[in-house]
Amino acid sequence: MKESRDHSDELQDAPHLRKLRKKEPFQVPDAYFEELSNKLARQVAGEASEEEPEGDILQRMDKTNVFKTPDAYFEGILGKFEKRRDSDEEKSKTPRRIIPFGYIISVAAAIFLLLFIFFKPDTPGNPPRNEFAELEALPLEDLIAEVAPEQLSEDMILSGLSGKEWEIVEEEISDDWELEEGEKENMDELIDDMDIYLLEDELDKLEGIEILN
Amino acid sequence: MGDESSQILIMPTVEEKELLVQLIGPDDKHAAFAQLIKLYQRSLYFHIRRIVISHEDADDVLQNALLKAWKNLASFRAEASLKTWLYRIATNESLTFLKQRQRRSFQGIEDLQNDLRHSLSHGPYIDGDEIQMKLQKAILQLPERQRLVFNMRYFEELKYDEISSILEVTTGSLKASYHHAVKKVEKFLLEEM
Repeated sequence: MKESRDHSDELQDAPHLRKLRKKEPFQVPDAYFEELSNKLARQVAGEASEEEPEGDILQRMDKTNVFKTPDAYFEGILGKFEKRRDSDEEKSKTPRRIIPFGYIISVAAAIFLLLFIFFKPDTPGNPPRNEFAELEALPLEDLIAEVAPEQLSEDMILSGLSGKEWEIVEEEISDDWELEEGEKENMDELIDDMDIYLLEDELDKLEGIEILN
Repeated sequence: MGDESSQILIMPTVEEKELLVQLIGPDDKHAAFAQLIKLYQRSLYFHIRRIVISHEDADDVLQNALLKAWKNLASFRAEASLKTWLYRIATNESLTFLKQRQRRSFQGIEDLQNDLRHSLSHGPYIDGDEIQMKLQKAILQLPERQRLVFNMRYFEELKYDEISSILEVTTGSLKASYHHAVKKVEKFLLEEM
């Protein structure tokens, strides 16, 4: 009552409004309010289904697990795991063979050096060197000095001498060396053998030249 | 897998808490881990199986996942759930397994899906009626994340918070993925029936 009196008091300055009959101009469809609660319930359900948007078919289906396992599979999982873990731990305990870093570096350097020597690019302006031709052109004394006695044994040097050069060495040996009778015979045999070897070597070279020609 | 800032931390259960004390402590580690395996082996196996399809592959991946979990026990955050941690490892191992297989045989994504479909139709240890097999085929044509989310939500009935913690994706994004997955599966099933 108080509220309505207050309300009419508020309209004291509006005489026309006071005279008007209050009638709600807005209408609702028949049974709107009866339906409202159902509609709200459906909307709430709709929101829920948005969170769980399972379609009709999925909702009707059983959640059967199509995936099967061999018999007693699950009883064996633990044992299998433990076996694998133990072998893994065993492997990690075995010390690895470690190659020293210095060793790797030195091997790599040696390989690099060899590659550089064999595949050394010719620098522009310098004609490619023919080391073999240069060595061949050297006199014997220079050649021996070039290869250095500490690198080649006497036998190795002798085996590379031609017949004429060998005669010089032979004379030097027989003149300078004082050998006993038996030793001298042995040495003679050795020299004869060497002569045959050198002769064969010369013949081989000649054959090689013929074949090349 | 995604937005780390939104990752939800799932608290360990009472049972997990007891196990954790043993797992983190110096003694009983082996026994506690054995108990952990017994607790989650089934759910982990089927989670992996739904991703890789074949039993042999699932068995391999499960062993790898368990070994990885054992080796990384020290890095496990004690306040988190062991279940979601194990699921995360299992999921990553399964996806890595599929990606490696794809790389090894120079496969595209479609080839991989065909392979999985083949395993589903011809592999041993699979048994379902026609409609169930159609459902599995429908799931296989989903993109990777939708497939994972659908399986975890529909079959494994994990909570969105748990899936969020496993996949490191926001729950909003997961709900959207699930919604799309359901629509696609329904459409596939309607066309096939």
